Amino acid sequence: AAGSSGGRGGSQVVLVNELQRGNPVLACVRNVRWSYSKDIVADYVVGRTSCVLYLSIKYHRLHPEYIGKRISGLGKSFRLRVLLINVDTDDCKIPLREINRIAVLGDMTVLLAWSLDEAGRYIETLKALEHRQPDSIRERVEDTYIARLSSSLTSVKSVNKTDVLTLLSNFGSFDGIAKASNDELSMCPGIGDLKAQRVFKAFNEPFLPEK
Amino acid sequence: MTLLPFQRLILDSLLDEDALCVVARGLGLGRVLAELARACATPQALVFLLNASDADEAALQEQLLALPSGGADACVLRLVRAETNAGARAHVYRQGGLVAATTRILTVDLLNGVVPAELITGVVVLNASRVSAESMEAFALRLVRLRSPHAFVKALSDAPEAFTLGFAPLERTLKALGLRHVRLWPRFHVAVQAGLAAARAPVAELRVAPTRAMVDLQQAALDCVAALIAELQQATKLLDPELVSVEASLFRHFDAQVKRLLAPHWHRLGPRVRAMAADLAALRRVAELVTACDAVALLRHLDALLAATKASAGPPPWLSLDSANILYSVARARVFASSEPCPELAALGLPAAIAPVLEVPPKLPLLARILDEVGAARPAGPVLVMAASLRECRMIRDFLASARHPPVVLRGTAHPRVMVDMLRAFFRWKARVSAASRAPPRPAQPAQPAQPLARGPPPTKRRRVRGASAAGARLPRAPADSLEQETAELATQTPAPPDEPSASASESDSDCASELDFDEHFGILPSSETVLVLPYSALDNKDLLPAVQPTHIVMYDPDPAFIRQIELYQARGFALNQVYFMVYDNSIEEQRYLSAIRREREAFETLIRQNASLVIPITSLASPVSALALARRSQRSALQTSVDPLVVVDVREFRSPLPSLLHAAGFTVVPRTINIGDYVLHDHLCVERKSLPDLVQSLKSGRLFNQAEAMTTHYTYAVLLIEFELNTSFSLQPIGALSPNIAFNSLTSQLTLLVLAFPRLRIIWSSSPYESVAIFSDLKRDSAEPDIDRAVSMGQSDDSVEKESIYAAGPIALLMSLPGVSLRNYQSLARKFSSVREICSAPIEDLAAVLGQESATKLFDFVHAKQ
Repeated sequence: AAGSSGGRGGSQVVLVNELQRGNPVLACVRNVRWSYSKDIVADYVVGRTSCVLYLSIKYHRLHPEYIGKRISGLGKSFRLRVLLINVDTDDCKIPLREINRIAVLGDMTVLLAWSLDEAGRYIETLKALEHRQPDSIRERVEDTYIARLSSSLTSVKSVNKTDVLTLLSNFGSFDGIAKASNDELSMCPGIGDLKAQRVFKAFNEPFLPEK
Repeated sequence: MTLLPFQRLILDSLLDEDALCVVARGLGLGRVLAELARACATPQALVFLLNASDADEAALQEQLLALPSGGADACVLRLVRAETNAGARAHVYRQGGLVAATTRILTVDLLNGVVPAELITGVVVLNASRVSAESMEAFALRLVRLRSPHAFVKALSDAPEAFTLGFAPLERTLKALGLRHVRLWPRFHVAVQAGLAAARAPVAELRVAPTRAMVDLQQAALDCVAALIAELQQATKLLDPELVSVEASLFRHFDAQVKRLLAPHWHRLGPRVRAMAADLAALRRVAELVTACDAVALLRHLDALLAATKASAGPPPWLSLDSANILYSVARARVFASSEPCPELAALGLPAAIAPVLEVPPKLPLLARILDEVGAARPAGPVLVMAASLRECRMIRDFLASARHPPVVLRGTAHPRVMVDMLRAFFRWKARVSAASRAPPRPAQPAQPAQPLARGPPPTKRRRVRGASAAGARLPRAPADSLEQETAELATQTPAPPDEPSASASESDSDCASELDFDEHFGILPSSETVLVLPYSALDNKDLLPAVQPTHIVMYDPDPAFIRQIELYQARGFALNQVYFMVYDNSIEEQRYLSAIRREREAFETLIRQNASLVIPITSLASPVSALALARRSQRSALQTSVDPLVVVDVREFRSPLPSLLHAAGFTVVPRTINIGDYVLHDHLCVERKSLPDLVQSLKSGRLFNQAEAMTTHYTYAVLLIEFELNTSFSLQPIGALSPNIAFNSLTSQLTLLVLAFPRLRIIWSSSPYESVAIFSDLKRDSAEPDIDRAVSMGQSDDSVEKESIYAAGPIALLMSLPGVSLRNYQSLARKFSSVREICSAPIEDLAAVLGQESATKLFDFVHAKQ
């Protein structure tokens, strides 16, 4: 699945260091195009200012000095420097501890993958989302009435979405629930005495408790 | 009101030594606690009560007030809560006596030196079975021991069963509490036996035959449960068949059990499996409700269950089971059948085309007969009727009241008035629900028909069946589903009853009898003074019986703990003429009762055995990671640095185990309210900790984006710590969960977006809180200590500092969740209005005065939107 060549700047292609030849993770990069490049220092260049170094834990345990050298070789040319770790062994506590430390000091952002597929997916996604606005992780308001009501009522401990629907169907509106007595609340199917009490308290207890 | 001899023994053993004391339920642990409190909580002493629930505290307070006090220095329980402000807390500590404190707050105060350590006399821990090495209580106890080594620690529990779950639970609890001794007080303890052997009132055991329909319903519900268990096991291979079986599903702890087995893998389970686990809990509850509520309430519960699950995720898979159809059809058949229209019904506000069946729970008429008999004998004291829940109590009261009215005759059959009322309420509810579900055209999301559960025997062919149904465009509607629809249609045809004021006014008297009706019942019941109907929960830890002094007791539902309360009551010399004990013959209710008793006995036997072979080395009492701390300390002493490394921790973070573990590992933990990050390791490094569920949630809600923004603006090193929980699998998503294409809303994509948006944000992955401690030690190596004031002032704006301390947490959380309410304006709202309820009834002008027109409209519209 090698792609055509392209300029290094605004290319649509992930550039792959020759050193990565034979890395099975390449087989998992399917949704974006990639090509080998001789003149890059990182393992993968996934954007104009972002790059990836790839490391498997097994390899790190054999050659603990390797990753430090690679990081210092990166220089200052990238804004985002991802250290993509393939967790390919169960016994990963000690190596991960080291990696975490190296990464914080070496200005690397660590992403962990537990399979080649997942690792390949991060490489793909970094490229594919390069120019995308982070809207989907920004604060935004859900707009259906039920969604809002759910997010509001579930702020009361132990109330779940099913309870929200039960409450709504029994009392008709938020206001209706607010006016319900403890007794009426506990009569709703699925709402036990304790839960009813919690809901009642959330609506009726004063914000400022008297001392 | 003195203690019984064996209670005195329990108390003496508690006063003698520091120990964990496990007492069988119903043996009056509350009384012992009250005496213990009185004995050790003089004003010269300072005793903390930890891990008490609100109900525990209220019960204790009540008992303490009732105790004969020795003059002005009556012992009262002082409360310290999250909302008690710092000055008031310090005052309470200095006053001494008995203080019930929220563990988190006490821990923070201990760390900050607000608690005068030299005054601490001791700590009493309630509900000890819930304390683990990672819990806040263990942290608080460790701090108390460090600061005042002579303080006593006593732990109480009345849940022996809890000590039999998991691996070596007794040993681990003892270690967490730092205790070496256990004292066990089962019902079969010699002293208890001797104490309760005294006068016994005659007990009449009334075995009530359940109706045919009830038997069928129970069976059908259990069949559904069995099918779900099998399917869940197929899908996950995680459930231990020993622990998760139909027999086990009869008990409440079953849900917790299933949760515990699935928890390590929960974040990797698909939505289908999660939904099944939820359905399992719901259906298990249905099996329980067959005997616990009346026919109309059960039908309503089933319909609500169906409506709710359908609304959220399409029809649930179990709905296609034959047993599910039996469940729905039998449940309906014992309430009403379809029939020729009959105007007489319409006049009563019922659909005309039904023939009411209205099966009465067989226990109710029997109860009425008993009460009549007892009433005829003119007892000297009140008659006490005890039932399992508030709901049942209400049903009993309504039934007894309506027995005084002439029955309503419908289509030639007489029905108790209350049943007809309930049926009317049912159809009114049904009409409202179906109108609601029809009114808003649901947004695009076509209800994905869930894959039905495998039906019938050949489980090997399951795959093919499933494949076929997925290929088939749409499933035919399950019979149960169409029954529900039919009922809904009937309901919408229900005429408004003529005697009722108007539809909108009747909205408020939601289900059963209205407020007015209720008063009327009490007026009519001449014995309202003498017949008391109460739920068992009303007497948790309370000394109810001596206060009421009943001469006759009817146990409408079986309850082992209450039987002991009756024994205690008699042992204390109160006269009791007769106890009636009702149970449905050969029902789940009966099985549950019998095995509850058996389970408790077995639990105690296990505990006795464990206790005999208990080995707790003295060193292990100190802390879970003490070896590490020792190593650090020796390392540091070699380097001639004497100060422990310091970490500033946000007070809200004290709900997680990490601060405790950090402290155990030799960090100086400084709790402060900080706005940016959860942990400040040094002036240039702050850490935001996210557990997995938090991570997923906060990525979705946008909260993490804001936090990352704030951290990267104020700190050179901004770290996001992704922390997996102890005992969960260390991996983000299940193998094979990746979609073939890049899904923009997947966790992978959202994390990538975060990384792209904040290239300077460092991510640290930790497999457990213990691992986080090690990572923190690494990060902290050789760096200077953080400036505490600087950490606090970071990103501080106006008056947001106080918000944690002065407001009641629950109501404020609800307030903040409302549209139009934001961080900027909620404080003005909370000052102007006293509660959420008041805000709901406020006119829009008043809201606008505080919020401005736009936000006020948002809020007002949301609150008053009619479905």
